[in-house]
Amino acid sequence: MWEENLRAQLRSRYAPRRRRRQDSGSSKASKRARKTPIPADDYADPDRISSLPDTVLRHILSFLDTKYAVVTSVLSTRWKDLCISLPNIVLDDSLTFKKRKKNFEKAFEKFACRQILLRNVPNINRFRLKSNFIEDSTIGDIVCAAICCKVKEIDLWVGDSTTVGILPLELFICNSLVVLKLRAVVELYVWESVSLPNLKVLHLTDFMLDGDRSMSRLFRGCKFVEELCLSRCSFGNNKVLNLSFPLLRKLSIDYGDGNFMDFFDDSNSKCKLIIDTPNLEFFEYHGHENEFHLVKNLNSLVRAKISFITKVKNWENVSELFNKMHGVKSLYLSDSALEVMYSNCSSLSVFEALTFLELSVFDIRILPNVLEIAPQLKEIVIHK
Amino acid sequence: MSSSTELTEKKVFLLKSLDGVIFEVEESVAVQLEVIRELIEGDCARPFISLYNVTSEILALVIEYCKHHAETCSGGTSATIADEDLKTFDNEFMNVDENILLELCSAADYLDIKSLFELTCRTLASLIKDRTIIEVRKMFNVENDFSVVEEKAVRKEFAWAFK
Repeated sequence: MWEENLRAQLRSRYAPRRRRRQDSGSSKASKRARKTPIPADDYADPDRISSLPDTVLRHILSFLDTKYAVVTSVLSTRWKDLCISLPNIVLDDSLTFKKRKKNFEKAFEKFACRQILLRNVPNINRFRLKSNFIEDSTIGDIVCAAICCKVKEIDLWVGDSTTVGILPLELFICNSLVVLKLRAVVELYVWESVSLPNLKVLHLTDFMLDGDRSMSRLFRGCKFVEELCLSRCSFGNNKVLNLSFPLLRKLSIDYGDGNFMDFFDDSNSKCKLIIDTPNLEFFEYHGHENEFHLVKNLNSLVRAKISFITKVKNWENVSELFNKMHGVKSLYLSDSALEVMYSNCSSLSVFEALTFLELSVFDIRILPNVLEIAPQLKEIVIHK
Repeated sequence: MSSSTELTEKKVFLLKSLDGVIFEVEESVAVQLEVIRELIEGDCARPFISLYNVTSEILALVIEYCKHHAETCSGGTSATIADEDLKTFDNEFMNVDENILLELCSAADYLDIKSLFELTCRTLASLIKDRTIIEVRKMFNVENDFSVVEEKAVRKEFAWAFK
């Protein structure tokens, strides 16, 4: 198994330091054992929490950000090593250092490696890392190690990094992975053979998915996702964004506000969107008036939120989308999306099931038009 | 609480606590204890079950919790209302002193009641989070058995976590 080999490799890279520490630890322990134990007070309350089994204490600690869990290691010798093998690991170095401090960074990095590479409880449920300071190569190692521990959920936010190729290729062939959330301003290059057969949730934020192949490889490799969120992603020179997922239930596409687009370019506005999602129940879109006529299947849709960054110029595209959403029960529309709806209602098919409508602006004069297109409407909520 | 040994029409189980008190619970409540559900599914459930690790004080609380959860979930109210109701109940239920909380956690672990185990662990974690080490030691009577040198070494090792 490649996981085993990789783990052995990583271990050999980080283990020697640990061995020294273990030795010194055990000699300390034997010294302590030689000390005469302090007699316990007969009437003192017993220490109930420390008598809970390791698994329970670890479970308690795993509700804390790992930083707070680590602090408990000075409670007593019983607690000293508990924080090393937590099932959930939540590391956030912005919580840890207010300002950069070299030796803290090293210690944090070392801890992160130890936490994952040298754990004695093999599996990791959730691994979250938010880091500005850890070196790229180390992040790669840590992620690799987490993958070897059959991690189910990875949430990675490498804030200021702009390095290409920070993510190890192993991340994209991880069988155990169920949730993958990546947030970083990096160009994502994806390997030939992406295989994430158990992935259910995929969130990409601040990503540049360049080149047709990277994106189609990634999406092809995780066919069975049920939730997909693309926030402030740039699709580079892709002319088509093909979102065909048979089991997808939730889809959110957010191009952010205009500012972000300047950072890359505005090529997204030329990108056609193909949506073929027969099981989609929730659809959220904030972006340009793309060429929506490639929407193939939204038959299960129940709830939708549609807003556009700019005023809609080409109503036909958007009308096409609205016509595909006819089964929706609850709908949010931004002012530009609403405009298309009420000004164009004669050419739109009726929203037979729509009962709940949320709007950002409303003028009573458009009510007849809205009711014409949504005869079952019961409630309108206006957000200011 | 009842010590009757007769079985009524509805399937009931008698649970005996560590200190010998017997509780009568309906099947819908009993199955929330994963240990008992497994017995029932394996057809090994006897109507009389001894629970050796739980005192009557704690078992009464556990049964109260399971009863409320069983009733709310089968009550026919909409899911969101039931959720709200359970949330308020859980919050109030966790309003007990630390020792009871620890025993509830331990009992939930032993009886394998997932939701109660999660609830107690989360509550204990929140108690630890907002306190200094000295306060946590005091609250749970954790005795500091580090020597001064050892404690200093641990603090140095994890210096980044102590700010």
